[in-house]
Amino acid sequence: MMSQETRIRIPGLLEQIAVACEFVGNAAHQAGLDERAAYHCQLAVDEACTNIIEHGYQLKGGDKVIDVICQADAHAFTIILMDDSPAFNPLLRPSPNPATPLHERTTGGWGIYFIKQLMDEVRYAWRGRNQLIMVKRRRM
Amino acid sequence: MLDINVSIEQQITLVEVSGRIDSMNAHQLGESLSGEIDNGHIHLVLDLSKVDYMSSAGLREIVSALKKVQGQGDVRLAQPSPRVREVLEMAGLDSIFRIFATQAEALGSY
Repeated sequence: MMSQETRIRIPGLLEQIAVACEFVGNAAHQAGLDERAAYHCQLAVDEACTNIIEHGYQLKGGDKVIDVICQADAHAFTIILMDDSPAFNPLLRPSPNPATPLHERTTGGWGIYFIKQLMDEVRYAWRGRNQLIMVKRRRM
Repeated sequence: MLDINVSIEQQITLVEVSGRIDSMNAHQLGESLSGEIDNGHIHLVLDLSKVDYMSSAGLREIVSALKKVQGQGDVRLAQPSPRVREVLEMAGLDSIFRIFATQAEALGSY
């Protein structure tokens, strides 16, 4: 299979996340991922974009963007998110523990944990912009 | 789109939600639940059968509601779709919430 790449740029606003999710869902289906894997990709993108917009852009991202790039090859479906908030590696945040009892639970922090659970591989890079690379490997 | 319908069934507050719960609209669910709780409706059933998508933003709201009624009332979940159940399990909430296969079972559990 030849490598395929599609991309979309969304404004850094919460109401635009559904657009990115739909784009990724379509790209995942087109790449031949099954329904559940495509849903996992959409949820991972939702969580990552929410973090960028709420924390990186401080809910003031109307004049900023998130670039969403989908790459498909014979082995994997890869999603790359790029944003212009200050350099921040979300993967360094300590993961919440699902065994935490209710009274000890704090409300946040689950987004990046979900991404790590939903995707097979997650990497962060800084190349003048934040880059979050999320990989779903094809099941052989 | 998110639709929230609230009704009272024999002193139990039934909250039926349909659509997609994400960071854009999860606060609507949170406001609806805390509005009921603030009015003394602390025995709730949240029917999630028509929710086809829920991100961690939605979980945040239902956990807040459960914390709010803790020790006095309860928030019980009815028939979450497989997708919603998967996120509940990922966050370990399947062992924190009481989850029922049908709305009738959830209502009858009080």
